[in-house]
Amino acid sequence: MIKRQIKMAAVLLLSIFMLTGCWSHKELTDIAFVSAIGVDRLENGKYLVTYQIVNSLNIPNGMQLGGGQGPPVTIYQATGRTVQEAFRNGGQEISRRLYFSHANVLMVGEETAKEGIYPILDVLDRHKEFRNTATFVIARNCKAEDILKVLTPIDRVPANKINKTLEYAQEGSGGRLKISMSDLISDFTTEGKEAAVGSIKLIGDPEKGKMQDSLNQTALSAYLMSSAIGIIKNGKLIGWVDGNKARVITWLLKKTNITSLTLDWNHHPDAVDIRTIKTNVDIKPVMKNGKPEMNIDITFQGQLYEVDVPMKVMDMKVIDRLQKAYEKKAEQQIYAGIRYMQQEKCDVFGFGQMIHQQYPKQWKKMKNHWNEKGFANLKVNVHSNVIISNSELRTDPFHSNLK
Amino acid sequence: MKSVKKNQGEQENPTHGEDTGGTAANIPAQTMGTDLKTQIEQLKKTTGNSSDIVIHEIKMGSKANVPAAVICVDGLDDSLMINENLLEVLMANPKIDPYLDSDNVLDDLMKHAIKIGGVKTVMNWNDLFAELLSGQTILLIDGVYGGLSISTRGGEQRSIEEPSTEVTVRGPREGFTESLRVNTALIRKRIKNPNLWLESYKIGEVTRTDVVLMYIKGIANDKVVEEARKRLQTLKIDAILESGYIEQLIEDKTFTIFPTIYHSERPDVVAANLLEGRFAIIVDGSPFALVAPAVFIQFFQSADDYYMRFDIATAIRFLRVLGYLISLIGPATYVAATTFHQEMIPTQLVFTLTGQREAIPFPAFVEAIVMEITFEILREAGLRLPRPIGQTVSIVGALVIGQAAVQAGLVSAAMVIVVSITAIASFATPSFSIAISARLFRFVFMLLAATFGFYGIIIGMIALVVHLCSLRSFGVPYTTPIAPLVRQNIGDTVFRAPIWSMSARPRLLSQKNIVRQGENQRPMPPKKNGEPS
Repeated sequence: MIKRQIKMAAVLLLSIFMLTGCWSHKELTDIAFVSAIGVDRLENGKYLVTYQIVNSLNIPNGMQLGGGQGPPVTIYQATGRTVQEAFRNGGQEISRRLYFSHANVLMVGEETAKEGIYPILDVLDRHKEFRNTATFVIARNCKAEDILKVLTPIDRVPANKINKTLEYAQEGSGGRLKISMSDLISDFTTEGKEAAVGSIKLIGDPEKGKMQDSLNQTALSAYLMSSAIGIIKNGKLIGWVDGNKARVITWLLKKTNITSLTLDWNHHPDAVDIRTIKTNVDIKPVMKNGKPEMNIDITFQGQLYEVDVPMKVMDMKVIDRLQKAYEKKAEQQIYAGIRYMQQEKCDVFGFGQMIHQQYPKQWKKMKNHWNEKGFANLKVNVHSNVIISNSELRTDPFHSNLK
Repeated sequence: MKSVKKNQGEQENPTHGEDTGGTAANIPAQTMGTDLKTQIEQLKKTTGNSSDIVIHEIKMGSKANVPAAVICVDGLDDSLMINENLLEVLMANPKIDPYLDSDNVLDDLMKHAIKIGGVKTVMNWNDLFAELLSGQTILLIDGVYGGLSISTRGGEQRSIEEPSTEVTVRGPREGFTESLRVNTALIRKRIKNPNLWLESYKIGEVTRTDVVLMYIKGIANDKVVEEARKRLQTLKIDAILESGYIEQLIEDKTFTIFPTIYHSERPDVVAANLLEGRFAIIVDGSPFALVAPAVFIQFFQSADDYYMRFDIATAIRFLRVLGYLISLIGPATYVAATTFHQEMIPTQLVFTLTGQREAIPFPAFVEAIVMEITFEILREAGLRLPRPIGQTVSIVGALVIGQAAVQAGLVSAAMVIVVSITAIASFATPSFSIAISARLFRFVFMLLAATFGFYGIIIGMIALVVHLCSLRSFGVPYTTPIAPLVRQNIGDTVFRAPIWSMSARPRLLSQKNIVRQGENQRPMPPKKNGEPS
């Protein structure tokens, strides 16, 4: 009996060695954490892959507040005929094993994006370490490598800065997008939905931005900021949407909650500012006479944030007038935004996808040339509803009581 | 020698009759005889004329014509009691003359003269020595066969103090002492019920230690008690110096890291366990009572749990189980995460950890092992050192596994935190005997983590759970009431349900008397029509 038990134990223990799927021992000091990957296409058709590698000794931690002496990230670059070849070549100059699990930015240069991003994505989508939750960003007006080389203050790891900037801008003001690689690939494969991606642009002198010294000043000589929404059709960047039109995209994609609109009041231009703190969007396709129409209901709940003219805020009629004015302005903006995209013939809102889900049979007839025919001529009914729930700490502005 | 054990009302097991040789053979084989001088000679010869055996030769009766001897062990008896109550009665006392002349001197003296409770006759050397050496006073009378054993036990003992190993915030402050009688009394004080039965054994052929098996008849499972009885009766060992001897001799499985017998220093804990149907074994000379059958979850239960309200008791129990898990796999998880699964660590954290580890010359596993061993050495040294030096150890210890080690660049700050949390967590387990199981297996898990990562930890955990499920304590599955699931007892596991809802006693094997309290014990506001709820 005991002999049998020993035999069983031996078999079980030995089987551990055969069952190991994760024989992947690697010390923290043997791996190089890639925080961002940049891909550019060179003139000769080769890919230039830029790795932003975290120099963890220079990341501020408890032991040495403020970090070490050097820059928090180091850039390595490699070229290859495919992205994978560039990856492989990249391993030749780095003393540590490249580790992609913590890479959270995939940046593509604008020119490269215009030529097509399909060839870039598969290798990363397939990669078992690279996470497809990483943000896909286009470097506006420059190459990805230029952006990744810029050092950033406050958030010392530039990849973090890029992610946080995009996320906060998308959530807190609108008109900026943060799209993960998996969302992008899902957009590529979904009928009736075109992809829109965020972008980052570099302001200032790129050469100075690489220097550690550039961080030792209050006004940076080079910095990164979030930029317009890029529209991608058939895997190629076809244009940029900025300003109010871009905000319509983030509204209708339900990405933006907080934003503000400025209204005129009694012939005073831009006198009142209303900030929405909650945005509810309800989009429903309907069939009328065999033709699809989109009913868009958007509800803003907001606060009176700034009043620069005398006003009786406690008067419900005044609030009502404000709400109506806001509703009208928002509707105009949404109509304008949708119309712009219809002219571009690019359904970034995913209206086609909604029709597909709601009316699958009818969708079959219109799915060919959806962007060019169906979406471009789609009738859209926008109805907005604004609730001003409070006016922060004041009621009437002090303007009303001026001596 | 017939038997080293004295079993009250129990059938003598025939295999016990054989002499195991050596120790007890010294006792005279012949009968006691009636001649006092030979008796005393025999006695002196047997005890090697030991100085603590006091042989007080007296002459009894008013005419001082009956030679007798009062024999006692100095230090074990109450000499004041002997002087006042025994010698005064026996010497120069005309009242006892009639008894001395009677045919049955011993019986008459016992019944009429000696004013001490607990007197009995001893008719052979075996009994005589057993009684004498346990603190009784022996009276031998010339010309009379046999002698009297008079209960004069006394001597020095430690007073009842607060138990040091199981400290509770709320609850009685009494703890067991080294004296068996005090201990049984402490329990009897709590359970005033004739069904609390005690069975006495003398175990240890040299030490002849008094051992008591205690249970509540009608609540304890008869089969379990019978099994305990059987295991106690088969013990043949020269000495029992602590209840740990008995624990190791009667436990179900030796090659396990988990204790299958619970031990406690608190009479209230033992009483509660008796009331749940367990039996207790109390050993003279040890303040630790053994309680069995024990189940795994019992080791995470503290007496406090039942004295505090259920919400906080439940929360604290969760904390203890968590603490046990941390002390078991804490360093292993750190090693696995930093050497295999860097993708599972939050990005910001992994950068910080890497930054700390850049200058460390060892792999994470070596670092962890060295730190853990250092801590174990410190812990052991802290226990052993005399109290005044103890402080020095804690200061030096703080340097070795603290800031100085980090500054020297030998270990990372994160590792110091992991080791410290593990150390603190291991002290959160109320039972020391289960805490040391984690202490040992922590190293096995670290090894598994260093070779196979989380996969190894999971394999180890599975093996450990399988092993847990295979354990039995006196026939009761160790993981009761979780596996096998006993629904009415699940309230007292990692949770502690309100007292009024725990109406069933733990089901230990099949048991008849399972109802612990009446129904509707839940406190409620009175009903509107005035009837009590």
